[in-house]
Amino acid sequence: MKSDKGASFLNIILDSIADGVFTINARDQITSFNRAAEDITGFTRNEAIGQYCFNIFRTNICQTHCALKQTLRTGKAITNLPVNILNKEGKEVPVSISTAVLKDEKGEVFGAVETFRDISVEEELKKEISKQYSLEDIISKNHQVQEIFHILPDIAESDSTVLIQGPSGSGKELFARAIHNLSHRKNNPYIKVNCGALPDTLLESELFGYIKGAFTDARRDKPGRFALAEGGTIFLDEIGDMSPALQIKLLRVLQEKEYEPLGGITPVKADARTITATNKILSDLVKTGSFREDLFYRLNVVKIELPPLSKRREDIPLLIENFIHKFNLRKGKNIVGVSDAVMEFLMGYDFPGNIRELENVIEYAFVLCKDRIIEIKHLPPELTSGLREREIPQKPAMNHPLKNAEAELIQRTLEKHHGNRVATAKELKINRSTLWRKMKKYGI
Amino acid sequence: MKVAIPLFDNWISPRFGFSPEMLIVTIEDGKVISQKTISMAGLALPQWFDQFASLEIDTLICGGIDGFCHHQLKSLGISVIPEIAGEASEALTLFLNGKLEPGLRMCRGRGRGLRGGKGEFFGPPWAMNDKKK
Repeated sequence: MKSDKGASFLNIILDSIADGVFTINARDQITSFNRAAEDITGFTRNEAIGQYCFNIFRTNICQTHCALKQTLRTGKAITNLPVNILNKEGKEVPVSISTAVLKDEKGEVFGAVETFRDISVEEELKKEISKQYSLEDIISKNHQVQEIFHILPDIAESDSTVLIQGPSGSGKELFARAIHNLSHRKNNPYIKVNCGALPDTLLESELFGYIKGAFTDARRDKPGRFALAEGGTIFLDEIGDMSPALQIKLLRVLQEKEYEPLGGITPVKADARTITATNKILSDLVKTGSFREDLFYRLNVVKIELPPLSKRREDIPLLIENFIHKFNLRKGKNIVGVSDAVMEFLMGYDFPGNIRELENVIEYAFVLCKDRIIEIKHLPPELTSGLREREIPQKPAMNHPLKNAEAELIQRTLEKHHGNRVATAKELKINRSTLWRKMKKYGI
Repeated sequence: MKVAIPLFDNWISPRFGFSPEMLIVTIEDGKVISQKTISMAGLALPQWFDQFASLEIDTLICGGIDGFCHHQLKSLGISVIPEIAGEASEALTLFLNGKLEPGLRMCRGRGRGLRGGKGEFFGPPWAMNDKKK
């Protein structure tokens, strides 16, 4: 009876602390799991207890350098080791872990305890301080783009073909250049070809070159872009516009690493890493038969999907700051920022032209602004005149007033924190996974 | 068809992209024709995707997997059965019998047999789509 009371008292204490705590037995099975552990991992106590710890905690070191195993083997505690876990929602969460052995009254080891702290906020702050919201010339704090930042150095290091998909103006070329700059090919050429801008025959000679006498005006050999990109990277923009005839030739280059210049009979070796981009959905083009399936799978080894600016509104303040800095240098001005009204307007604008449109808006404002702050009157009139007429996308109507109010509160708090979910969850006094679930539920 | 299962000893690796080995099983007419274990140690994620493409894998049976990797594999035309916990051989048997569903946790240590498959789904919300199919 006394022992039951003790256990219940211990559980109350464990549940009241902010750090996640779980214990395991000698067979790596979870024997206790406190409330903070539930919040951080997303798994409930009922789901966790009895499971092997590596199936619930899922850190990046579980399979190679398990901290608990090390502690059980050496008897030595580990403190504040930074790792990341994969939570129940399939998202990486940075945590700091500490471990210690559990001993009974006789001093026999019967298990181990691990405590862990969610360090997402500290990591966000660190990024803010060290400007890790940027990679090469790309700036973003959006979760989806941050995931791409995380993997981009690995993508660059490999020689895999990369397909970048995203709407016009979303920064596809910046990503292609970043991959080249981060790769071992960075000291070799980076060649860009816009496949949608040239007629078929011209594009073929541009890509593969021609030899003297191939056609009437071919008075001497001309190297193609693949030859110019030798040892480097070739970036094929608007690949979705390429004709089926050229698609076959491109497939051959990718498969056999060789091609024949126009009018030539001897194959030429190609050593260029291929990066392609499109604002179309290539898989849809495959379905309609206008894009070869075999080429699609060759190009689609690694796919990067860039969200439109309207889906990464939290980046708007960062991008504005960056463009102001850039235009101050270029135009010799000293503009310090935008007014609250401008920021509010731009945060609510849909940007059909994406980042390129935002850049143009700031450049336009630089021409008119003679002060240090950009005001509404400095923005392009076609943007602001449509202010009232502009259609605001409506969320599906909910006939439940309480849910409606909750959705509205979440939306407003998100806007206040420029889309930052950590800060929003903190203000609303709910954990991030709850916020995420509610956003999903209300289609925010 | 070819099925890949990232391994952590005899277990299904709890987290995609971090396992040192992967089991590759070739299945014809519902029977295992051949199987081999390949080393994945030290490979970066793009090299994992390269491996999947070059080995012409049709289905991946895995533990936890993040949205990015899941999406990449889907776009390579690979069917993903995520959030499976337990022994690889057991998962393979269930797969061959058409009984392996995303989110299945085979927890023997608990002494209660299979759980998770019929009750609440254990995985991330986006993987629910795999279950619904």
